[in-house]
Amino acid sequence: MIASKKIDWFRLSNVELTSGIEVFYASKKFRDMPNVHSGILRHALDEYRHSGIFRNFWKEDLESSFESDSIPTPNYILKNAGLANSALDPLENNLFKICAYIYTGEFRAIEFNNDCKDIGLNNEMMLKIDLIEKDELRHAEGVMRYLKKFPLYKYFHYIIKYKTKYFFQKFNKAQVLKKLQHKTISFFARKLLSNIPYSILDFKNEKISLSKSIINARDMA
Amino acid sequence: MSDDKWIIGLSYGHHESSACALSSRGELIYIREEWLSRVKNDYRYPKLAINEIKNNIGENVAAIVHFQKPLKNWLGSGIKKSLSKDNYLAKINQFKEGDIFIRKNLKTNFKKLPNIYFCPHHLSHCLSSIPFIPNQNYSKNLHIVLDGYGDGISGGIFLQDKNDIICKKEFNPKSSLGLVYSAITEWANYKPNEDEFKVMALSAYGSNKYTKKILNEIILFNESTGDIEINQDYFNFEDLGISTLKPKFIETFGAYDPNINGKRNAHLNKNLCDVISSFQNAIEESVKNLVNFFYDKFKEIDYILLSGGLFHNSVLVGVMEDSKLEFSDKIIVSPSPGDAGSSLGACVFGAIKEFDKDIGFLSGKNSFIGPHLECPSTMPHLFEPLNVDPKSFILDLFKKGESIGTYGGRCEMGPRALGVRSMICDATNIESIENLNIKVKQREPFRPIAVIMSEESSCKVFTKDFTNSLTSEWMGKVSRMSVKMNFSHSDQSTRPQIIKKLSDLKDFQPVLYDLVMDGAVLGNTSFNIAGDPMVFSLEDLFINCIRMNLKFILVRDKIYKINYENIN
Repeated sequence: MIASKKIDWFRLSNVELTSGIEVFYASKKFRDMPNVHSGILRHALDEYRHSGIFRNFWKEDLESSFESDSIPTPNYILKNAGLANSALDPLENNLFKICAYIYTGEFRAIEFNNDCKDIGLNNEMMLKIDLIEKDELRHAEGVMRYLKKFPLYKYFHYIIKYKTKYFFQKFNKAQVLKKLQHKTISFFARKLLSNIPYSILDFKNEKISLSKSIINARDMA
Repeated sequence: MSDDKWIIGLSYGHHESSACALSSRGELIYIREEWLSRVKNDYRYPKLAINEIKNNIGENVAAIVHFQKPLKNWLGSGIKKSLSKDNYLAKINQFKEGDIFIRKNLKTNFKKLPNIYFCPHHLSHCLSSIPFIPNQNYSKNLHIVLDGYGDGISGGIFLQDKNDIICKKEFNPKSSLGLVYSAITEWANYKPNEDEFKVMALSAYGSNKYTKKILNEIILFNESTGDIEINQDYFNFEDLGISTLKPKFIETFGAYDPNINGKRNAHLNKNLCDVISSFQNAIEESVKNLVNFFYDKFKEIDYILLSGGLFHNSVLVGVMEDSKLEFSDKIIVSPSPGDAGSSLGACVFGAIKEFDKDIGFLSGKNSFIGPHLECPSTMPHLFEPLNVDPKSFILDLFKKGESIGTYGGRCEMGPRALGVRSMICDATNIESIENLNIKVKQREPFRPIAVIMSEESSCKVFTKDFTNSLTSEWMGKVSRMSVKMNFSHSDQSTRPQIIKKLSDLKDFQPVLYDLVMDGAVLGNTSFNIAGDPMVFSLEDLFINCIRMNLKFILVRDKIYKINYENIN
């Protein structure tokens, strides 16, 4: 139970609620297809249920008798859980775009569930997380089943787009910058090291620049 | 409809955003953003509401009117040496997220922008009540606006003579009763600007032991000028960077103690309820004095129209109506007197600007000005129609202590459900009420349930006669009862919706009308799970029914069963 405190269950509950709202937006676009429509509503209901499960985890985690509000304010949903910056526009009518977004979202959730498991939760919590994971997988399969009725080129680029977006969302701006700096430095350092003998030879003749070193190395190759 | 010109009014940038459309023939369509976005109290630019309105009215938009002056509102009290750094940081955030960039926002909904007007914040509040005046034959109306904050002030007094509306007084933010109520909400550990209705419910559990002190030291009414002054030793209403409650308030009334009973059982916390009750009582007294003062000052008033967020307080409105003062039967409160309803006021402002008409053409409206709800028969995979007599079916459900959802007609404007999107139970059965209120809706046990009853039934339980009440069929106000009933609150009050014989409410459910006329008293609460916006689309209806385990809904004169098989 101590480990579980590392996870902000309240935020997670709001994230699931936000997913439920997004799936609800999507459901309105499938009114002409009753089977798909009920399937998507089922999906939205699952998200609301998951939100409730995480809210219960949060309540169990509260240390004192202090009762925080279990009903999120608009700020929690819009900012904290990210609905305000959602990549899914509720007025979007492109069904492939919508499906690709939901499909990618399910894998985000699964990835997060795995992170939760790594932290080490109690058995009851693990059981519930497993069930949530099964739901997410089922949702992803359902969306893919629908998409597979259409040629790959119609939706594949949207999946790539949302996956890329998600990849960058995982890091906050500072982390992304740090990672980029690290990669750049290691790249140039490798290049520099491979150039050392030649650079030393040139040292007395001209000012050595990073770019020149790289060019020298290329020449050597 | 295609030849009609439309004005679109907008309200956003404060707590709840909405959009409203008004045609040159006086038709109204009002939509709250939260109904579509499913985020309770959504304050963002109402993109979805405008889109829905455009679907209803087409492209013939003559003007767009915003309910306040964005820059004036943002600047507020301006730059002062005494304000903290955090205040200015908060202001910068507000700049980004507020309504300053309204033109840019509008371009997401309109390719070509029509005329854009900006109506002063409190004038929008004032104008939002005009459509609810029962008839056009009035000569002079008194508008009293008491709000939290907007455009640098907290309220005003307006005098209306047909199309001429003159501002007679402005109240500065330091005299804001709305902000006092929000501060008390915050002190009680509830969310300010959202949970005031919970605090109002708690006021019934306390005594008025601090009322005298509050009226003598904190909320001061000036009997010669009609001004209200709030003692700033107790509150801070200017600086966004520091707490609203000053140390003197905590010294006098104590700090909120989370260890006493908790939030769900807040009604058992004696001091909390006493403080809330005393402030509620002091505010009631102050507002009564204020209305009386201006009613006496401007003689021969036909109607007194109360608007601004403070008049969401249905206990306050009830007290004003029951006050037996000369003006008590002249009071009208819009179904949504706060910021969300101001988009309607903005529309009226646009109509004065664009249509060459007397604004009397707008009068005679009621709360049912939302869009028409869709019929569940269009989605047989979710809702299955039943071939049963709806009246006897509902009575059978009531016998079992169960409740039923209602959905159909035009949506109610305000936050109060009036039968179009309601959950209904038998109000005389205590188990039914508790089941609906606490188990199904998951509300706090201290919050009472409202009722629907006929005028005839009301005579048996109220001392007050509703025959002359102008708006008892749709206006939210709490009244005291002569007898204690299962549905009454701890102070023997309730918020009744009194249905009159030969009612001309087209949007009230006909089956509920029959039940009420037969003498039934119906418990009525909004159709939503706690903390969610009221249901709007058929998808919402389905999701909410499943989440609350509600099996049947009444749609006009038909019962539908929720198709659970599609979910399991």
